[in-house]
Amino acid sequence: MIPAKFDYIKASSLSEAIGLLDKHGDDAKLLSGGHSLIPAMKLRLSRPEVLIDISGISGMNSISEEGDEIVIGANCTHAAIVNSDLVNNKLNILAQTAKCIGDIQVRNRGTIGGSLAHADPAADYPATVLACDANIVVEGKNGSRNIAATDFFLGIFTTALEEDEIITSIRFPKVANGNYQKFFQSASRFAVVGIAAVKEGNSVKVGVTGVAGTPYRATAVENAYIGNSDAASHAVDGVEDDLMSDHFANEEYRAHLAKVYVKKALEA
Amino acid sequence: MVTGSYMDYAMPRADDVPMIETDRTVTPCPHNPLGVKGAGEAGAIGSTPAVVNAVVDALAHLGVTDIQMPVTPQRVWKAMQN
Repeated sequence: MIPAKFDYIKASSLSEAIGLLDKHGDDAKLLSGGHSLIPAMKLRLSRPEVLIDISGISGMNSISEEGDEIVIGANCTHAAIVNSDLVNNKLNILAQTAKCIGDIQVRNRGTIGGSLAHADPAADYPATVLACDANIVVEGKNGSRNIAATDFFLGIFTTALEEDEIITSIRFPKVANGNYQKFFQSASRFAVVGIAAVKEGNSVKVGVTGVAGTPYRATAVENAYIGNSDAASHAVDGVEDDLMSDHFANEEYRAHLAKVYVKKALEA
Repeated sequence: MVTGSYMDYAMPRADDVPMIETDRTVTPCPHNPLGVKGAGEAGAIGSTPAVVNAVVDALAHLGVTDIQMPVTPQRVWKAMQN
């Protein structure tokens, strides 16, 4: 299908984009790589009257090291993340995650900021930003603030972003021992289940996407891991009422896959 | 409608297909001057039962005797549970 009619404005600065968002409210959507938004617009699941293109705003697509953190600009494409030496060396779990997204064409256009803001329950990054305890840096009309990943995802396509706020970068602590395991839906290649595990000494942080409407930290798994009991069996503790279901995988199968893939991630 | 778009209908992509080694045996059909045979139907009609029967064979030791298409991962798992 083709999208509903819309106006297009290319923002030349962050402040211009924030001003436009504030002015148009929920009639407007931001455009970065467009690879979550445009498919939604073509299906008419999303019908913004105004598209604000932020892809050209300078300073939002770099990858840098700042002390103990790796800072990823919100407009960085998934491909840039996969190919970054800094990410591969000091935050390898993020490169593993980005490599699982879509296909080469999608990775060349889609951006991490766009993906996080869109908050598709089957996206890959949410598991990883949760397991890494990343901070999502946003800017709006009231200035800049950090949103902890664990406070960011509120529901299906719902985040803690205010209407006027734009993600500018994501700050990750460096991760020496992390891995991302994904069960791909064979057609769409979205995550039926996506598990990110970050190991630190004898403990682990586990982020889960695809399984529930809201991506989550599997704290029951994390606690069981320290006690050495069958940690993976706790993969869906606490989210039993929020399990996703579709033609390809129902709640029961998804819960099973979550346990299998948490086990893979813990043993990797 | 279960497969309304390519988001649900898994169109095979280049990286889904393994390297295929081809060979040929030549046995002309004796019933026409060119010796030709229809070839498309073997792939379209014969391959599906062959694959489904292979799945059933792989699960036979668990007591599985039949499985419905589409043979999704969930259906295979369900068959193994019962």
